[in-house]
Formats: sequence, structure tokens, C-alpha cells
Amino acid sequence: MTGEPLCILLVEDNPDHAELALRNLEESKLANKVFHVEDGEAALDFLHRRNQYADEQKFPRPHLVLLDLRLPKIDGLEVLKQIKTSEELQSIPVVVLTTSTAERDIAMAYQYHANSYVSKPVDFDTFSQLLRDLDYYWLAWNKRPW
Amino acid sequence: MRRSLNHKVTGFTALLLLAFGALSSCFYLYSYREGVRKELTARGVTMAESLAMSVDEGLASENVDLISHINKISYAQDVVLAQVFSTVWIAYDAYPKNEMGVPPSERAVQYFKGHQKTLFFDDGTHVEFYSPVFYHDYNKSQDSRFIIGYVRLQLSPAQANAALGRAIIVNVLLFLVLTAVMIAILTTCIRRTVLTPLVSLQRSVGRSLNDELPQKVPVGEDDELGVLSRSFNKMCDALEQREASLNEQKALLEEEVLERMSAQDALLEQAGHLEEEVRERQAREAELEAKNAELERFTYTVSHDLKSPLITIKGFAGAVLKDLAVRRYNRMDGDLRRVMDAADKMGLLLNDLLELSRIGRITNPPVPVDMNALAAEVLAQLSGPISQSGAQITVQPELPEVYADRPRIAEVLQNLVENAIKYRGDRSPVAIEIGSREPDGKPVFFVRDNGLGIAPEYQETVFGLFNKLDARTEGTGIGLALVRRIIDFHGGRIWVESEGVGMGSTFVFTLPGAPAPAATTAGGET
Repeated sequence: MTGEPLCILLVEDNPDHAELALRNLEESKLANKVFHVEDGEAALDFLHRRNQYADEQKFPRPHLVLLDLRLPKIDGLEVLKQIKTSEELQSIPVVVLTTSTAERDIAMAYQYHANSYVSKPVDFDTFSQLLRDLDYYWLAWNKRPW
Repeated sequence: MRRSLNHKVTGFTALLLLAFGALSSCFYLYSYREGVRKELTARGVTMAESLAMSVDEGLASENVDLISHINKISYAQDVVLAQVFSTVWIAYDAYPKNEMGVPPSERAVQYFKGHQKTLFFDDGTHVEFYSPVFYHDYNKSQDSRFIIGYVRLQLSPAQANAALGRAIIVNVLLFLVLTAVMIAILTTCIRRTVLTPLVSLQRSVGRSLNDELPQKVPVGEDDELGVLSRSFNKMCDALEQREASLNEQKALLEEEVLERMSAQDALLEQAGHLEEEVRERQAREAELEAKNAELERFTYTVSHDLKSPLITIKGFAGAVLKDLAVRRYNRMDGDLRRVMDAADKMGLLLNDLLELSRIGRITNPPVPVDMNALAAEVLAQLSGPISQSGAQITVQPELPEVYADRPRIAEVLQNLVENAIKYRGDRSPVAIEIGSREPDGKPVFFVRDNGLGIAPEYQETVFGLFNKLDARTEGTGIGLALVRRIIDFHGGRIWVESEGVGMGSTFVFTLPGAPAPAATTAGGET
């Protein structure tokens, strides 16, 4: 609550799901900006500010990463692993937001130090509620080290 | 050179006989010579005494004529000298006459000073006899006699010596002949009784040393050699028996070894069968495990990917309801379209999943497939998309024939060509090539394009179920998974070769070329 603009990185390959998430996040008005990338490679480029995301002003360090697991090019779990093994990025909260409820995925995600794991609810209202709660919890309640 | 026993025995016998013969000859010749001497002496004494008696009258009467009887002595050829002396040793007469002056020997003169008996001695060259001549006075007592002179007789031993020489020659000749005969007899006897059996024994032993069986030797007399020969023959018999039993045992052992070897072969064969069985089971287990893992992955991805459009449908349906409530219509048709598309996507997914599940469950029996004809059919089916994209497709002539499930292989080709068109990028013209190469006799096919290409890190993941390189592209992400499943099911392999993004890609797959012996029956099983 420093007045600093809060931003979220949404990593989602399904454009419909991304649209649903974006709509819900916009309604909450907590985040100043939501960036959406469609694959793991783009997500890592964004976080490391590489290639087309090199502009630090345009693409700031996100305060929350919403990460799908099944992603083209670089898998979501690999993206998670790279974030959490990078000294620079590991403090960014990463919430795994995926359709999968497989035990293996949950176990692997926590092994790679995911901050949270949530499964996308099929019901529209529940989905909206979840995103609002996530948004509020991680951006309002949660204390960040920076 | 080795000196034979024969030579040694002959030599030794000869030496012994020679020594013995020489000794006995010497003894014989010595006693012969003594005999001759004695005879000569006895004759000489008799002759000298009779000569003395023949001249006593002449000496007593000093009548020279009577004395000349001495010449009668010439009848004896070995008389060298005969003389008649007075008591004071003056010669009256001599034979031969010219030897009158030969003086008497001093020894005789001294002898007769004390003796009256005939004297004889050997001076080395001659034998001399001196005999006194007596005058008998018959008027007086019977033994009244006195010496009135002496006679001398000299005999030559030449005759006796010649006899001795003859005796020596005869003796030597006889000795040599006898010795030779004796040697011959002795050596023959020794050879017959000792050497011949010994030599045959030696030869027989020599044979046995050359790894042959020793031959039996003839048994001679009942002596030590005979006993030895009999023992040797017994030994030969024993050896022969032992050899025979050894040969028998050897044959038995060989047979046993052969039996064992064949038993071992059989065991090895069984072990090989068992190993093969174990390998087969392991392979089957691995296959089952792989299938289980695949099934798990499958259900996982299916649940994920079917849930995904469901979320979209319910999400945008919810959004539409919400918008309806606030009478906000501007994005409603877009949202509804998303709902429809998601439903369509679900339908497609379900169809593809059904298709995927059919592979391995529903199969057509493998047949020889002319790949050129098959490619032509596939290209004809895809003529719409091909002409839309303007792709130029070349098919290598005389592609190798394969033995496979024909409709499935058509699906493989169709998917690969579709992909090549779908991911053509902005390259113009689009060039697609269907061909084959045979690196080690196994046909290898490829579908090459000059399109987007695939970065090395994704060259494996593209074959995963629902894996898509680009989320925006149409399709379910099942195509390549389906292709891999078909190729796997045929026992082949599929991979992609690409230099990287923008470099085009080549999908390469292998298929069985010749019909497997069991393929026709195996094909009908499922």
C-alpha cells in the first residue's frame, strides 16, 4: 500500500480462460495492470525482461504470477522451477491456477515452492469468486518483502 | 659307436682262450725240450762209454791201429768231435783227423783228478762227454782196474733243436686252429643261449619304448634267460590286457564325455529358452508398465483438456447471464461464440480421443502397401488445403513397399502433410517432399517441409498428447500423438529432424519392410 502501481502476470495459453480471468481481475480494481502471456517462454522472458519485454518501464516486476501448468513451449512446472531457483525472482508469489487436480501436479508444484495451488472451478460464479479472493489476498493482505 | 655285446663276448672269449693256450703251449714245449735233452745226454753217455771200451786194448798195447776204431763213430751224424787222450791228456787220435790238436777242456782235466765216472756238460753250443778208459788186470782181484786214457765225444744239439723247432711250429699251428674252433663254438653257444634271447628282449623293449606293444619273445632253455623271457612274455600279456582295458575305458569315457556334452548342450538350450522367456516376460512387463503410464497420462490429459472447454462454456455462459441481468448486450455475441467454439472443440476432442483409443483396439490386417499409391490417395484427399496454401508437393518415385495396416498409414501421411501445410509460416512457395532412404536395409520414410521448423528442445514434446507449440493454432494437439501411436503399434519409430525455428522440419519414421512370419495370424487376433 505504498501507492506503487500493483501488477499481475497472467500466464495462460487458453485465450477464453485468459479472457475470463482478465474480466474478473479488472472488476476487482485492485491491480493497476494485468499482463497476459500465452506460453512459458514468454513468461520467463517477461520476468527476466528479455527480448520484447526488455523495457523496464513498460513491463514492471509483477506482484503476483498466476501460472497455468500445461503451457506450450516451456511447461508451467519448468517456469515455476526457474522462478523459484532464481535469486532475483523467487520472492514473487506464484499461484498455480490450472484445470488439473492431479495429485502429481499438486505435489510437484509444492516441491518447486509454489506459493499456492488452486484448481479452476467449472462454475462461473465460483471462478469469479476465486479470482476476486486471490486478487484481494495476495495484493491486499499479503505482505511483500519489497 | 656302440660295441655290441656279441663283440664283447667274442673278444673276451678269444682273449681267455689265447692266454690259456699260450700258457699250456709254453709248458708243453718246455717239457718236450727237457725230454730231448735227457735223451741226447743218455745217448751221448752210452756212446762215450762204448767208445772208451772199444779203444782200451789199443791203449793198453799202445797199438795205434786199434785206436783208430774211433773212426767208426762217424756213423752217428751229430758227432762233431771225438778224441782219444793219454792219461796225461795227449791226443792219440781224433775224428775228424784234423781236429787232433784241440785241447781238452780244463773242467774235464780237473774232474778226473778225483773221479772215474763219465762226465758230461753243455758248453752252450755243444754237449761234451768225457769217459775214462780202464785197463782190467784179470790176474788180480776182480775190481782191480786203472785208467789208461780218456775219450772225448762232442755232440751237436742241432738235430734235437730242429725237432724242437718242428714241435713248436706244429704246436703253434695246432694251437691256433684249436683256439679258432673253440672261439667259434663258444661264441655260437653263447650267442644261441644268451645273446639271441637278449637281443630279442632288447628289441621288444625298444618297441614298447616307441609306444608300441612289446612283442613276445621265444622262450629257450629253462635257464635264467628262459625264466626272464617267460616273465617278459607274461608282462607282455599283462600289458596287452591293460592296453585293451585302457582302450575300453577310453572308449567308455569318450562316450560319457559325448553324452555329457550333448546333455550340456541340451541344458544350454533350455537355459537359452528360459532366458528368452524371461526376456519376453520382462519386455511384456515393461510394455504393460509403459501402457499403464500411458493410460495414466491419457486420463490425466483427457480430464484436463475436456475440463478446459467446460470452464470456458460455463464461464462465458455465466458472463452472458450476468450481462443480460444488467442489459449489457455489446459483448454478448462474442461470449456466445466462445461458448459455441468451446463446445465444438469438445466435440472434436471427443472424436479424436475416440480415434486414438481405436488404435491398437481396432486394426486392419497388415497388407503389402504401395507407398506411392498411398501417398497419391492422401494427396488427393487433401487437394483442398493444398491448393489453398499453394503448396508444391513432390513424391519420390519407387518408394519401398511396406507391410502394414494400410488405412492407419494413410492417416500418418495425412497428419504429417496437414501439419506441414498448417505450420508453413510465411515461406513461399511451400515445398513438401515425401521420400525414403534406406540406411541399413530398413525402409525409412520422411515428410520434409520448408516451414516453421521446431526448436531442438521441443522436438520430443510435439509428439505428446494435447501438446501444441502454439496455443492459437487450430487442432486439438492429438495429431502427432496419434501418428506416434500408429507407428509404435507397427513396431516402428518416429522422430523429427529440424535445424531450428524457421529452418523447416523433417518428420522421419520407420516401418516393417518384409512380412513377419507370424504377422498374418497376429493381425487377425484383435
